[in-house]
Formats: sequence, structure tokens, C-alpha cells
Amino acid sequence: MLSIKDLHASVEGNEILKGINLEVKPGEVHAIMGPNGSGKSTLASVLAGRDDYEISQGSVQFDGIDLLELSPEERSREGLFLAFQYPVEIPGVSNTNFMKACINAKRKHHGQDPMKPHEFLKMIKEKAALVDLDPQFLHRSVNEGFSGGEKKRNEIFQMAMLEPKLGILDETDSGLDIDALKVVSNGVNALRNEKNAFVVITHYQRLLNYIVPDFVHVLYKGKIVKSGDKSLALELEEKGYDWIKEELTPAQ
Amino acid sequence: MTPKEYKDQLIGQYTEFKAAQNGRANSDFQKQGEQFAQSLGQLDFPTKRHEEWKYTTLDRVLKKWPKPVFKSAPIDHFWLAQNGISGIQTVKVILANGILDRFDKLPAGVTLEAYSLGNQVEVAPTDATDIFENINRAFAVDSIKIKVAANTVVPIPIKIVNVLDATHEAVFAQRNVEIEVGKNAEVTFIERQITKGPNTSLANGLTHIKVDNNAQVKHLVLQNDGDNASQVNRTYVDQNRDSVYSNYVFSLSGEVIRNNLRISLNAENTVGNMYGLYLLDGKEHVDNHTVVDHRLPNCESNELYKGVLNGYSTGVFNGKIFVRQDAQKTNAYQQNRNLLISDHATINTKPQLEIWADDVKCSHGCTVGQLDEEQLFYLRSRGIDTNSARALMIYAFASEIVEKQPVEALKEYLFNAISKKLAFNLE
Ligand SMILES: Nc1ncnc2c1ncn2[C@@H]1O[C@H](COP(=O)(O)OP(=O)(O)O)[C@@H](O)[C@H]1O
Ligand SMILES: [Mg+2]
Repeated sequence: MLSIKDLHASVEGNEILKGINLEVKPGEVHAIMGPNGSGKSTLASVLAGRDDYEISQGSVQFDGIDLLELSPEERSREGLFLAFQYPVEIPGVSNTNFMKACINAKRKHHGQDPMKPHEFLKMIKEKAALVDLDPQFLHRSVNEGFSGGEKKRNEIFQMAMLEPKLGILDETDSGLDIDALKVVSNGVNALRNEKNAFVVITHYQRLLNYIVPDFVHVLYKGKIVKSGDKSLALELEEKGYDWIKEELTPAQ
Repeated sequence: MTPKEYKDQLIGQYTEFKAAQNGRANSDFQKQGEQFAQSLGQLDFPTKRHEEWKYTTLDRVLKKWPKPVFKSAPIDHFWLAQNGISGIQTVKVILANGILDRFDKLPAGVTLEAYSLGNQVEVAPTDATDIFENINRAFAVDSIKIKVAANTVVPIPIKIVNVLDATHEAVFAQRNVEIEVGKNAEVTFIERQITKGPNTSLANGLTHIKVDNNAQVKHLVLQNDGDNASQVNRTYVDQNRDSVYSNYVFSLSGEVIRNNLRISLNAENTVGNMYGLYLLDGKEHVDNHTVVDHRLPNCESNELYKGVLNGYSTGVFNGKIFVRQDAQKTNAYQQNRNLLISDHATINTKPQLEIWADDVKCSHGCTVGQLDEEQLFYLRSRGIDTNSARALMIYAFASEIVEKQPVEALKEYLFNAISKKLAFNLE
């Protein structure tokens, strides 16, 4: 589904991603871990199409399409979703109108008619319940005045609404208490099936108790330096990142 | 045609105007008017050298030689109904070229008088040095006065629609209106101008509103009259004790629009509110000059004007707050926020505070900004294309003022007008 090959990306002449390789197949969950500043959010942003980055080398195929050729909105309509680490507030745009615009843009892209109002209403209620969001929030402006936890739940709610093929979660767990973490994880798990896939970026192993990954990768200084199964996450939790840094030093 | 030449022609046309007044040329009303016509000799159209007209000129409108109208014009009511605001119940007062044409049955407690109905009414210029006020009174064919009796709560809005007929030529029409709201009365007015025909129209309005003790007046002004329509408006509001007056002006289309709104808080415990939204494109120009004059203690004024400027449009906001020495415990707030969505649009914004009292709370601020890139990216990352994302954000910005205006049924009309202007449909 997603095939990243030797991806290099830089900002203002500083190379941040230095040759990323990653293969994600339908039905899989990949976790990407790594110390702060290693390039996790950059990778997510590049995949979502933020244009602050210069891609100097490499390729990204998404379901057979050259992802890097698409605009952010086309990527979304093709089924890519990024749950932001820091979701922005958009005063004056209600969650309902926002979601209506997103869903209908996607449907139009795929040659479908706009969703019928009653279907939309039913869907929006169902999905809000999935992440335990008060229906009242649907009338409020996108993320405006939301607590950190509510913003993260809103990201998962949007993901549930858009039913992407690939969901990328950028530190959705950070700042969540254990109850909110369970809610978010349950939401994601409910969306999992054999056709879609998730890339879960996280700092902490904690989340991976709830969203159990098939693969764990360590991103360090712009490269994936180690990959393994879920036991790698436990090992990282126990020993921190230093041993990986040490492992790498002789080679450099 | 220079403004000077235009004025000279205007003076020359006065005799013709007088002769056309249906045998009433020697009425007191016309005699008074003639004095103002004579003072035009000493007045000139303002240029950029006038402090109050630094950024606004009517040159491009006057160049099209809008001809002063001498009489009413038949109204095409079918056309008017089609171009009206549907889904809202109002008491309609219809003017044709500023002259009373017809009005609905008035609710109890509301009366209407007009010079054309034989009543002695007129609004004289407040500022005798102002050429537009002088022209208004000199070339006014009619004058209308609406009175709301004390203790009357008018259940539905009163809509004053001025229909200009620019079918055959460019026109210049005067609107002379007085509104008197009695003690404890409550009323909502909607003011609108609509031009028929392809030629230039210029409307010059002089409105005086008196708000008596404890009355509550809401006043909506809808300026959505197309690219060939210009207007100059002088609105003077005088408030008595415990009254609340709120003005909402929506400038959604027009060639050159200049609004002067002056609210005088003449007694204690009054509240004056001013809200404005201007949404400009092409070469449209909108200039809002507002004054709120705090004369006595314990009064409050709130002002929020928001503007969205696209294309080569230009906007002006000039908001003055006066707090006189006696006006202790004044609360005065003013904000002007602008979104420039094109590199070629400009806004000149200037708050002016003159405060002589010492125990006051005053705040003001203005912002000029572009659309937020982070917000745009967020919307796009959910599948919304750039143009729609921009429109959605502009819509959101503008909606704050739409939500403030009190006529629920007008919301849809306003949102549709905004969407149409942004060429964007939310559904
Ligand atoms: N837009 C940007 N401009 C400049 N530097 C950036 C930008 N985005 C990321 N960086 C830098 O790239 C590095 C990786 O950042 P980031 O991808 O956010 O790391 P992580 O998410 O793993 O903590 C950091 O050193 C950060 O300062
Ligand atoms: Mg990050």
C-alpha cells in the first residue's frame, strides 16, 4: 500500500530525512518511535504534502500512485489521513460543516453524489460516539477551545469519518491520560481491518499496549536504524534509546 | 468631467429641478432646499487633501455624469419581488428614487409622514459644510418620517427599500429620512437600496434617528447593489437615557460606498453598538467613517468592523471615539479586523480616540492579515481544495458579524450572498 524508497527531505538546506525506506501492507500496523527531533513529524508532513519541505531524492508509492505528485487534498481523497501532533483551531468553521465539506469533496473526487443529509447525520453521530465525543461538540468550531485530549479525539473522529486506507497518527497519545488513551485506541482498533493500514508515531510504548503493532521501527537522525516486532518497543521502554545510539556509533 | 464641472452643472440644473416640482416649487420645503442649493456655490467635492477624504474619491462615479433625479419612477414590482429578500416577514416602505412610492399597513403605534403626503417634514443638514448633506437637502424631492410611539414593541422589522431607476441613464438620487423612536419602544429597521438598470447609480442618504429613553433600536443596513451602484450615507443617531441603538452594516457589493455613522450618547446609561462587514472584490471601494460621542457618564459603546478584501479593492475604516469630560465611567470598545486575500487589495484603517474624562475603560485595535497557512493546510489535508479552503476560512471570518445581527431570517440571505461572492457553496 505504501512504499517509501530512499526518501530524502530538507528544510532550508538542512537535510532532515536522510534516506527512509518503509513498506506498509494492507492490514498492518507500523509503529515509528524515536527520540525528539529525529524526523518523525517531518516524515508525516512530507507524506501529507506540506510544502515546506524539499524532496531531494527518493519516491513514495501509495496504492500504485506517485504520492509526491499529488496535492494534499488529492492525497486525502485517495485515502491518506494524518492525525496531527498539533491540530490547529479554526474559529468560525463548525465541525459539522467541515466534515460535510471533506466528505463531499472526497465523494466528488470518486464520482459519487454528495451524501444525503440524513445519512451524514447518522454517520457523524455514530463516529462521534466511537471516540466518546459529546454530540454538542459537532456544532462548535473546529478545535476551538478544545482541551488537548479533545483535539486528539477530534482527529480520530475525523479519521473515522473519512475512512482512510492509510492512517498516520503523529503522537496522538502524547498529553492523553490513560482513559483518553483507551478511548483513542479503541477508536483506532474499531477502524482496523484487512484493507487499511496505520502508521503510529509515538514516543511511548504505552500506546502500543492498546494499539498492537505488527512492526516497530526506530527513526533516528532521519533514518530508520532498527526494525523489529512489538518486543522492540518494550526493549526501548526499558533501556531507552542510548543503546541504539551506541550500536550505531562504531558504524558511523 | 471633473468634480468641479459636475458641481457647476448641478447648480445649473437646480432651476430645472425646481420647475419639475409639480407646482410645489414655492412650498416651505422647497424654499428651504433652495437655500442649500445656493450654498453649493461655496462648497466643493472633497479631494484627497481633505482629512476626512484622504482615501476616498467619487471622481470615477461623477465622471459617469449621474443625473439628479427630479421625480419618482414607476417600480417594476415583479422584478423587485424577485430581487428581494425572501423568507422574511417585514413591513415594507418602498421609495422610488428616494420618493415615497407605497408602504404596507403599519403596525399599531407606527406612523409614517412624508412631504409628498402633504406633511411638514424634513431632515436638515447637520454639517452645513458638507457638500453631500447640502446636495441632499437641495435636491430632495421628498422627505419621510417614521415614528414609533412610546411603549410600542414593533413585532416585525420595518424595511425601507429605496429603488433607483438607472434603466435609461446614470442617476443621482437623494434620500431624506427621519426616524423617531419613543420611550420604551422596540423596533428593528432594515435599510436597503436596489438599482434597476445597467447604468451608474449614486444614492445620497441623510438619515436622522432619535432614540428616546429606554428605547431599543436595531438598524440593519444592507449594501448589496452591484458594481454600478454607489452610495454616500450620513446617519446621525441621538440617544436618550437608558436606550440601546445597534447598527449593522453589510457592504457586500457596490462601486464606491461611503458611510458616515455618528452616534451621540446624549444621556446617561446608553449603549451604542456598531457592527460592520465589508466583502470587497474587483475595484470596489468601501469607506466606513464612524463616530461615537460619549457625552455623559455610564455609557457604553461597542464597535466591530470586519473586512475581507480581494482583487484590487480598497477599504477604509476610520473610527472615532470621543469621551467628553463629563463622561466618566465610560466603556468604549473598538475593533477593526481585515483579511487581505489579494496582493493588490489595500486597507487604510485608523482608530482615533479623544478622551477628556479620566475614569474610562477604552480599548481599540486593528488588524490586517492574510489567511493562516496552518489552517489552510489543515483543511486541505482533509480533502478540501485550496479555493474552497480559503472560502471556508473567509466565510468563518465574516460569519461573526452575520451572527451578531438580530434578524434570524436574514442569516440565510447574508450567508448566501457571501457564498455567492466567494463563488463557493457550503452544501
Ligand atoms: N519547517 C521546519 N523548519 C525548520 N526546521 C524544521 C522544520 N520541521 C522540522 N524541522 C527540524 O527537523 C528536525 C526534526 O523535527 P521533527 O520531524 O518535528 O521531529 P520529531 O517529530 O521526531 O520530534 C528538528 O531538528 C526540527 O527542528
Ligand atoms: Mg513530532
